Amino acid sequence: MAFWATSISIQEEVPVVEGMPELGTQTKITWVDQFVCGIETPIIGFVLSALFLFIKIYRKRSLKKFSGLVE
Amino acid sequence: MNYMTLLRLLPLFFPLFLFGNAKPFDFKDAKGVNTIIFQLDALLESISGSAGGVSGTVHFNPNEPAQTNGTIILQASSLRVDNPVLQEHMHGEEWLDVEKFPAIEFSISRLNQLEQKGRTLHALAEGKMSIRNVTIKMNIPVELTYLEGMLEKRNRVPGDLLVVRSKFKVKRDDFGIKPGEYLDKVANDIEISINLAGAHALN
Repeated sequence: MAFWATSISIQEEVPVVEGMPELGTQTKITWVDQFVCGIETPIIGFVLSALFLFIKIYRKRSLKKFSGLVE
Repeated sequence: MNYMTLLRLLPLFFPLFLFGNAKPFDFKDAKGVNTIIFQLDALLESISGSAGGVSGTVHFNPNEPAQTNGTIILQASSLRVDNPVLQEHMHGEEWLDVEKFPAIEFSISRLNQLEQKGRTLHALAEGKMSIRNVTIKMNIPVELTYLEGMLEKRNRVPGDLLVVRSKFKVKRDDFGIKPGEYLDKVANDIEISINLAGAHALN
């Protein structure tokens, strides 16, 4: 689980001495700006969907009651 | 003092030549590749990041590796994670307080349990770790690779290279970083992985 991020790290193995990887490598890290949605995105989506569904059901029931009163 | 007395005293000075031959290796990498990677795996959240602000000098003598000493310094403000809010909290005064404590340091005093495997020397670095002004004695497993004359091929400058690799853990509560708090989100164990190249330029 993670929250949203605005950058990602790209890890790359580069030789310590150029052209001689047999002498060992180092991890080169480059940070790139990029938006990555985290766990909060599906949670907010679920909460908003549930809220809209609740309002819709509530309004439908209110209309049914109102039409029953008119009849 | 006659000639014979001088000859008798000469072996006494021989070790001085050996110890005095340690080369200083500068870990401020001109290529900007030297990086420290850290990871915290808590129950609810995993935090990983890196830090590029590495500097410091290590004195290494290939004939006397046990006498290796020096300091690796990490600029605390160079610690970076992918979430900007998390990074702000990590740098803030409640956690690392990078303004008040700008450096994280490991001072090596000597190497123990040396074992040569091919080009690489495996050892236990005896030293002191300082984070937030709290200093703790630590023994860290290290791998050293001495590459004589290879600096020219890396940085176009004549000299030698010393590659230091290590993986170890520190506990944040040992350094007074919110001990016992937020353990479900911010793990107490911080896994640190270092892979650094130090340069000894001739002249």
